[in-house]
Amino acid sequence: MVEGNFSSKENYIGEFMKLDKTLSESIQEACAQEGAPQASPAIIRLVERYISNELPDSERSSALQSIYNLLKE
Amino acid sequence: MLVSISGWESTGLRCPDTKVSFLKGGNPCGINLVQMPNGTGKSTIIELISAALTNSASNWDTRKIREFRSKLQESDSGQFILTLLLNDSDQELNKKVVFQMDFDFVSGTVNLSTLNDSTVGLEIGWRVPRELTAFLNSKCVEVFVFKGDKVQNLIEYGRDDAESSIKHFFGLSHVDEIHEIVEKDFMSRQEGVRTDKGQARQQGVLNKWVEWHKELERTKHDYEEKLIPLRSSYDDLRARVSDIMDGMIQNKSQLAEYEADRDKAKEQLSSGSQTAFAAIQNPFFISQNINSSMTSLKRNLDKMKLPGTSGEFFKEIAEDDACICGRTFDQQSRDYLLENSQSYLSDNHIAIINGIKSDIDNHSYLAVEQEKEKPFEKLTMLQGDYYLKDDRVTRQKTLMRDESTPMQQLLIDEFQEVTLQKENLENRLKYIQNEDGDIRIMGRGSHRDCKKIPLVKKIIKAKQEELAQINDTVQEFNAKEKFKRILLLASESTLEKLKVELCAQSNSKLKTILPEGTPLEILEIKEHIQLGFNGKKQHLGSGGQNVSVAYSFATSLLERSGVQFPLIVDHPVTALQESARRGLGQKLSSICHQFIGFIIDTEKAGFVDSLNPVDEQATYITLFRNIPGNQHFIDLLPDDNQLVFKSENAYVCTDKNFFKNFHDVESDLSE
Repeated sequence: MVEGNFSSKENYIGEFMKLDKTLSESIQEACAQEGAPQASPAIIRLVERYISNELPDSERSSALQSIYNLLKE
Repeated sequence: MLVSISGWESTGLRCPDTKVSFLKGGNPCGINLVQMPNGTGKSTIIELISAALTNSASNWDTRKIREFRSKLQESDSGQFILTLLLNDSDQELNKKVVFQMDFDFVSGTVNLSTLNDSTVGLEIGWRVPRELTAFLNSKCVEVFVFKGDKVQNLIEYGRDDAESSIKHFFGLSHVDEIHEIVEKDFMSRQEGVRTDKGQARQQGVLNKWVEWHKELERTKHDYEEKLIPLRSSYDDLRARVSDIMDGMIQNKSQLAEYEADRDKAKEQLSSGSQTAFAAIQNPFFISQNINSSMTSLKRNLDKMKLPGTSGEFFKEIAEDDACICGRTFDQQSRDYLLENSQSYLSDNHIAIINGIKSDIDNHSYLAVEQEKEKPFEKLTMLQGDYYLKDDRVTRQKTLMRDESTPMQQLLIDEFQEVTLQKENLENRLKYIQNEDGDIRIMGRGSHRDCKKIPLVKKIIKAKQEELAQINDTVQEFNAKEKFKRILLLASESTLEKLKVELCAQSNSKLKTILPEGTPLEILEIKEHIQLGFNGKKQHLGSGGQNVSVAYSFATSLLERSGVQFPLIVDHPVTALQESARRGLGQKLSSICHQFIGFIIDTEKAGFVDSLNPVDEQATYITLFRNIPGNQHFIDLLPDDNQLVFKSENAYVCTDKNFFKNFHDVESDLSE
């Protein structure tokens, strides 16, 4: 019953971001300031995954590459 | 989410075998006081609670682990079990989490197990519940576990405990870590690019700088690690030396006056140095020749009407259909214009040259010559003044030392030695983090000559950029730099916003704790908590005020993060007089959902009676060793077995009256 509330990874991350709204808003603002608003969802997602220890080493490079691709646009 | 401690159990350890519960009717109590005579193991229990919450035991060496062995029982094994309750009404969450530490004193190891899911049962390893992943690390746990000089460390200028707590609690320290991952990833990508000899050499130089950066970071970490125990013994010795000085009231106030004078002189010297340094950087100060050359340069530029028209001007004209004289452009004249526009300077270059001309106009050697000596004369005077005042402080300290007993002199000498060591390490740390210097010069020399981390980082960035141009990966490099800038901007902005928010929240709590009209508030949160009132800064408050500030800050931080942990405090009111204890006690249940205070008998006066919650919401626990010297306590234990837990080497009594009447026999004898 308890696990049901946190069984989904998305749910957990959603929960975490509720705690850390200031950081996600600041990332959005920083992306806009750097002329790359399109990159903010991917950056927020990467930071979320890293903070909650859900970004394995093997996925780091590809996650970064997708952000770079967005920043190059 | 509320995180509460429901209790702990310990066996075979240097603290007594105990079973302590903070539950009443199945619910964790808000106020919990654990009274333990000195030497019963308060610090050990707090250390074990921290270790269970952070998995820090996995880094303990065999010596450290064996230090937890019970001296009396000499058993081969020991165990500590900590039980938490997680409750979140929004999520309909009500979960029990158990951390179990099994000590093997023969092999000098400790194994952790976790009960995280009641359907799975106890699992091997430290399995932190997902809900708490971001918070169960040493830096976050330090926020709600108060021991030693935690209170003062949050407020004291020069410490960064307050800022560090915010950064760790809101994941900003993790954002800093992402910078390192980005750099590591970029380097491995660059090495994957096919290179010729020249590129390989450039890559080799860059690698050396990267390795040097790692070495400097290790050195910095080493300094920081060494500073932790040094600062702790400095704080301890300072308090003890201050006690000695308290006995010399007149000398002490004289010393305080001299120190204030010396500190003021130091501040003025620092400002004077900056003015003199700025003066040195003015080229007009260097010589009459440079002055003449620059004036001549300006004259020649004017004579030749330079910097003249910019290349952009001709490029813009070439895009029009006709010239400014009205003649229609054909392709040949357009090509001619474009080709010749390259012989002219760009807008940027023109702006720079005009800037230089304007600067030359605004200075003259004769004018600055008159002012030249002044900053240096003043600096010499300020330096002399500082030395004089510093010497006066030293002499006053020597005088006070001479008036102390031999034992006190030893303590004072030890304090001076530790102070020197601490300052030495702090200076080294400051140097390694300093960013003054020219990377164009440093970058050309040997990497080992540059011992400042910020400079090394800038040099690495410049070399990466050069290499990216050679490797044709400039776009990758720019994207990486942009990503880092975004992270940095976001992190800095978040930190500032949180500081402002937490300052307001802490002040609103502080107002309810301090007596009405107390002229004290948090002016701002910088690296430390800056106290003051009406805009005027104040170094520290009284003992009670400092405790109130620290609790207000910690509980605001926990509330803001959405995950409220209990406040666990070693000696919560030692530094407080009775009236301040009463004030704090009355408000305690309103500022945090669970308070666990480890106290000794002398801390009860004023504090315990003021807590005054309904008994269902409080536990009053007395814990003492089962040794012959404690027989008088054993004789006074209530007959009700429900109120007394007896282990092989200790008693735990939960009776409130026994708690209130419990007094250390040593203090009785001394009376």
